[in-house]
Amino acid sequence: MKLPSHWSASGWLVVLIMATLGMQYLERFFRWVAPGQRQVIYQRDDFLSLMLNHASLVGLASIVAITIGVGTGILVTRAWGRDFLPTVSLIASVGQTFPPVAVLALCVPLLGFGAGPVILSLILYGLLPIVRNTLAGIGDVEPAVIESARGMGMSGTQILWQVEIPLAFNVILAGIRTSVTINIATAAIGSTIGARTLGDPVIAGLINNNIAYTLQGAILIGLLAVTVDRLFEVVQSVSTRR
Amino acid sequence: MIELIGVSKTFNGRTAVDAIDLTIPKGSICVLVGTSGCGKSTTLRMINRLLPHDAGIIRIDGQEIRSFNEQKLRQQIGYAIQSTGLFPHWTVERNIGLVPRLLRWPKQKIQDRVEELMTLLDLDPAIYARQYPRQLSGGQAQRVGVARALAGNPETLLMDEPFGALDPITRDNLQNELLRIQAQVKKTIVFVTHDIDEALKLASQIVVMDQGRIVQVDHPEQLLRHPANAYVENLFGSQDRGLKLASLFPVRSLFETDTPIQANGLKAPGSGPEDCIEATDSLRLALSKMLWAGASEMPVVDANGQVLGQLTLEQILRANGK
Ligand SMILES: Nc1ncnc2c1ncn2[C@@H]1O[C@H](COP(=O)(O)OP(=O)(O)O)[C@@H](O)[C@H]1O
Ligand SMILES: [Mg+2]
Repeated sequence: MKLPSHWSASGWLVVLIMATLGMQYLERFFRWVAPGQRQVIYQRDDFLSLMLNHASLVGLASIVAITIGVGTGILVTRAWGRDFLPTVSLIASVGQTFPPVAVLALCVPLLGFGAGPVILSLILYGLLPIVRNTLAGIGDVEPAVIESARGMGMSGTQILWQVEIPLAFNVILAGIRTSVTINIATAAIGSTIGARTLGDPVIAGLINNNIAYTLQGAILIGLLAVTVDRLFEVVQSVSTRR
Repeated sequence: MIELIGVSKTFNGRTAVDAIDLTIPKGSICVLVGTSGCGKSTTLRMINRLLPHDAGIIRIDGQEIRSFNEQKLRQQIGYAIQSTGLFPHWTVERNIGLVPRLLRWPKQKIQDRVEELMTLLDLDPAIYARQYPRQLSGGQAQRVGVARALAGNPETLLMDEPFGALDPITRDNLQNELLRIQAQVKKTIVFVTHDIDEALKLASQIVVMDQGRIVQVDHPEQLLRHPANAYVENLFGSQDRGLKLASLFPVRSLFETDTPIQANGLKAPGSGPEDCIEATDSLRLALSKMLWAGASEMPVVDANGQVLGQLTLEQILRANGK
């Protein structure tokens, strides 16, 4: 039998916190991984502050992406916004074929270095799965359901909140989940253009040829991604059970 | 009463409904029939303004429908469709209570109404109230659809092929229940179907449409006896019109006009459902039973098994032929 999803999520959360706060206790392991290095625990920044910074970059970008993404998906599925549906739908699917690195690289010449351009590219890239899934979720609502909702005398707003959004909720949530998970990884690349993220130790390790640093960054990024993904699973399983 | 005067509807230059005039009396069942694409659904959906009409006037009880708020108008008109359109994420009771909630009825009144309707439509509230549409059979889902349409106690009911997707037995049951309910509640019903037997069975008035026009409006018997043209004649089955006509009349109607019934108090000897005719059977069914038994006359019994008299082939022929 599978563990209930909230158990698995809290398990990962505990591991994530322990790894963030207690990386130095693994010094012997990292000495073994990178023999011959004078220093094997990344010191330039503490992991907690990198973790918090990384998470806030992704969190901020995701909140904006969700607002704009779900909003756009709703607008272009209203009667008066339908003209834009094909265009938006095309951008959402073509945009995703762009690798995230390319999006970051394109942002630099336009906006320069630092956290700003990273957040912006995370927003742009994170929008796509959200828009696509919002369109799919709302589009999948049976026409007969909408027809009868209108026929019973519900207003457009009532239909949106009581019928379309609840029925599309799981699909939209799946899009948000994809968006956030991808952006946790993408944000790490932000280190190359001057944002402080869990990518810092990774890059430092690559430059100084110290695999221990790289591993420490990668472990924390991986744990963050998995934990967040499990948390989404909890929300999804709760909303499906309803 | 619903009145349509010179009502038209065009989709991208193609006329779907062409200047139709129609009056549907209060408390009647008006059935729209015709080949697929002739404009039945479009006509229906103009009445509750799901589609705006391009020309003409539509009035309900003398009031132009455009004079109402669109949502308010629809809350006063029941609407049931073939695919039910029940909300899959709502329970049966919540689905049925939709319009009363939109009308802001008090909670208790909504709950009572939902129970009343479920009972009326033969759905045990104790079993079905908390179920979701996906847990229901096609027939049950359609009952819920009809209950939802009736919930706000509308004077008018629009039904678009509501029983079209059901198996013949379930369909027959629901038709009977619609007639039973209608006898109690007396709504003005506009009913779309492409099933001619269904139309003949339910209608007080049949409207035959062809390419957006009304070809004939008449009572079922008149339509069968005097089709306006070859299209109507074809639609109503030129070959088996005789049988369709026979299905319109219950055996009882002969006994009321013909010989007075002499209740002799005897139970028909050894009678099963095949060897005697029930007063509520149609002439068509009576004929079928006589053909099956190879008998030219059979006893007619009432619901209690009391023999009402003899029905002869001769009588059926005379009744159907006149
Ligand atoms: N929303 C619509 N947009 C364009 N054409 C439509 C629409 N609804 C119906 N039609 C057209 O109008 C005609 C009548 O359709 P309808 O009233 O649905 O026919 P019926 O219900 O009698 O089968 C058909 O030719 C159909 O293709
Ligand atoms: Mg139709």
